[in-house]
Amino acid sequence: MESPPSAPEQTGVGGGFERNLRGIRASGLGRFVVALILLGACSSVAAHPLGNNTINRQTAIHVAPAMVEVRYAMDMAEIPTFTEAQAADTDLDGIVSDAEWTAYAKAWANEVGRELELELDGTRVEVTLREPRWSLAPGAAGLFTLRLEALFRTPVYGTAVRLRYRDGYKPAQIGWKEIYVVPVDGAIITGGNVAQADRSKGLTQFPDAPGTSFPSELSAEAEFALPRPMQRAAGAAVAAARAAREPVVGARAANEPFAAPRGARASATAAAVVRNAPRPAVLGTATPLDRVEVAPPALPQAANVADPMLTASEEISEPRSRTVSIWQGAGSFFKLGVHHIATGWDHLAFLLGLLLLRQSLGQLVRVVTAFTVAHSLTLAAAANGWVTPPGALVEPAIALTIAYVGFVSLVWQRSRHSVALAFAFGLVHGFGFAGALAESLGAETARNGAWLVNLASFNLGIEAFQLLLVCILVPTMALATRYAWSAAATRVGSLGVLTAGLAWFFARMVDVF
Amino acid sequence: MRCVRRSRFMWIAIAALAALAGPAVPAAPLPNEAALPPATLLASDDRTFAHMVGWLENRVRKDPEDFVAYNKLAGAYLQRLRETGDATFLTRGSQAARASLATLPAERNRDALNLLAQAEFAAHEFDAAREHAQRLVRLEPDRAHPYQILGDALLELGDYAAAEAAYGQMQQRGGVQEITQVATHQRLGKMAILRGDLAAAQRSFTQALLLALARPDPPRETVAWCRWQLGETAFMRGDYGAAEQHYRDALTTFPRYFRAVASLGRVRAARGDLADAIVQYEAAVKILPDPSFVAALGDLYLLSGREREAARQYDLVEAIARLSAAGGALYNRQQALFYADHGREPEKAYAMAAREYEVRRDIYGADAVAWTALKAGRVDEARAMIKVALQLGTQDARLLYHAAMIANAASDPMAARDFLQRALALSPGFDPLQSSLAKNLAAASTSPAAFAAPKATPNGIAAVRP
Repeated sequence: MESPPSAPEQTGVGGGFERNLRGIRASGLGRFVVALILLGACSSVAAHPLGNNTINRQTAIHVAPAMVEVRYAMDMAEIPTFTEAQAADTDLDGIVSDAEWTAYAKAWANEVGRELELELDGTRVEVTLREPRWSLAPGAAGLFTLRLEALFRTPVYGTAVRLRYRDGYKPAQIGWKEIYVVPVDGAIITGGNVAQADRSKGLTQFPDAPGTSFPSELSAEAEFALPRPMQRAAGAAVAAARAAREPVVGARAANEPFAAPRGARASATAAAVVRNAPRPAVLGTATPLDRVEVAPPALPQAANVADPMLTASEEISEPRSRTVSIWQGAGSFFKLGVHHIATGWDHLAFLLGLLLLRQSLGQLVRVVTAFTVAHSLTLAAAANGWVTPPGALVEPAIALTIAYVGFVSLVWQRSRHSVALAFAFGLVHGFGFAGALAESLGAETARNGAWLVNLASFNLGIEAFQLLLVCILVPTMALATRYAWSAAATRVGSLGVLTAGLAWFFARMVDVF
Repeated sequence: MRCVRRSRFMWIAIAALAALAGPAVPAAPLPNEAALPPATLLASDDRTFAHMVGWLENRVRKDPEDFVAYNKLAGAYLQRLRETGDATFLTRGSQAARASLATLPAERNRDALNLLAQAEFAAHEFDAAREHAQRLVRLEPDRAHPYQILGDALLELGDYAAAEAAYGQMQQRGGVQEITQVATHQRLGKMAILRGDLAAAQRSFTQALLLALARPDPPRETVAWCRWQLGETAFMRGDYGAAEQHYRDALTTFPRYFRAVASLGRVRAARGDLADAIVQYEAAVKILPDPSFVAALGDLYLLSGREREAARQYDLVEAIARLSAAGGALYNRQQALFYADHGREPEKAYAMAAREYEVRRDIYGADAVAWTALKAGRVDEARAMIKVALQLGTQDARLLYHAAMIANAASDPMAARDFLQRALALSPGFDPLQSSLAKNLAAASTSPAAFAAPKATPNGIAAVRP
């Protein structure tokens, strides 16, 4: 049993303090807060089970079409709050006024911002944390805990983003350190190492049973495929981008940058009174900034929808030069293609229907090739804008093709025109793929020539997955023909494809009307 | 003369105790610190640790009855606690040890019992640690580690003879295992410090350090701890140059090792560089706001004429004490000493120290009672208790300074001067604030009449304002 020295302190150094992990008692905290309610103590235990010297932090990275938002929150336990309050008391009168806290929060946001590193597609973006907010909550022993929040927004161009994030703010500070990403408005995570769940519920709950680790995350990587900002999304993006320049309240109204995450604490917290201003009962949701800076909620109604990035404030600078090769984007589009077909049950059903037809191997190859060529053609045409498919009709039409293939397979079991059939129907399916891709292939990419690569990558992703399926299904079905039940199984499969096709058709027709 | 004779008697007693304790210190001469290799940075195992803990946590989530995984987790957490002082790891380590024991009782799960005792020891629950260690001794009488934790608990409880006996048993049983040898020498070193034999302490810590360094993968915290203890030993005998070098070596081995950062601040102050001392203590407090670090930082601000910042640190000490009490801590020796050192709350401080001494009778507990009793005006009790505190012959300038102040208050200026001279000869800068008070007193004591004067200002702080 390896037992390195326990280093007991002869003078009792670290005595009561080390074992004092949490606590409940009310008395006066310094002089800057006058009164508080005992009940708060219960919630503070829940909020700071990691001890009263921790600084817990959480970064939530929201990735939406055209915008990345970094939301940084920090929750200080009693001891750091006490020392920070001393630092915040700039006029040295022993009382930290709201104005002093606000100034402190601004300085804090600047300091944190300097220590954050954000890279989008390999290009460093300067992070300027804005809209700093602070709130105090009653903690143990009559002391308080301090919560600070700020956020950063930056436009993002293109449809595939590789994001690297590093938090260099007091990395050695003990506490819960959590980073997670939130894909918004159709963004898809295609890679990276970052969590997608808010494990501490906005730094309010910390699982502490043995076997639940507390994270110590100071960096994260993620890759996203972003849909092209369409009219609807663009409206939101413009609003958000505008709001980024507006003072606090407008931005909050625009896209709710901070949900009030401290329900648990707030519910058990009755009230606390700060010297001058009576504080609302729920400290977490009512921040001083609400009172101090009241700006009109300026929410522009998508003045310039065509270019959601039409913002030239000092924070939102001009488009980043794309130093990354287009191959980086290509990888994302490949994944997007795989993702699309692997979760596109209608396309898979159609493919299954085609494979169920009784045919020679040569014929099968021709059928699959025809389908591939055909949908590649329409995909390219539609994505490039040469053809505008009637979107409302494409989806039900796809459903019909599925039903038809299922029907043929069930009733005739073979088709002399299967190659032509696959080609014709492939055209329809290509429009469907184009619909999915159109959201992701932005105008920017067209300009810089990555467009063709992205399209090809997307298609390659589809084909790769399709080929994989064929390679698995065809030998399996060939083997199955040796058994008596194979005919029945084929019929059941065909019936399934037919039924699914019909069901989709009706469902989509309902959508149309 | 009486003192000298008593300390001789002490040595005979120690020799007798050592003989009783079994085969004592190896006959071969221990190396001195000149044999030490230069300090090198030892790699942090943060990554391995995170990986291992992640794996183990996953393991116990899937199989909550995997007591081996719980034991490994508890060991890892407690190791982290030693490295960082972060109380979170104490909670987790204790939880994991208890979870392991809930799965499999101690009779068949001795590692968990050992870990639980260690967690209790780290939480300063020395009574519980001793009981569990005694149970462990009954379960595994042939192994070294039960005696190790038993000795540690007994030492903190002030049962020095029994602690020494336990360490003797430990040494007897763990003779071949390197890591046990390291642990043994560390403990012999601590014992020697208490006995006032600083040269022997230095040899023991040097030996422990060499053994630790000889391991294929030297444990970073163990190496840094040994270097830090060498520094503490050098500091006690007033060799500030050597002490500073040891602290710097510890920090080379293990940057941001909080004990060494704070001690470096103290030795910088002792060498007269208040500004750098403040820098070091500020860094230490940022790593771990241990009340003793915070109080020392406050003292340094005060000595630099930065009263407002000093007051902030003292406020923080009080806030931490409130948190500590709110957290259920029954005793707070640091707080009592802080009060006594700064002339605050004399009655409260005395009550705190006296209450703790009822259950934990170590010499530093006796010193705390004596020092707080003096500030509370209980001079007779202070005299009695400082004798107890000095019973082992510990060569600690702070104890001798307390003895001097008590003798002075008891109208025994000769004894006071004697203690004060010994304190200042031993380590003239033992504490930034208290040692300047001691020096003021010594300067005033050239005339016997002036020597009695400080009674009027029990906290004495006003006297040191530059």
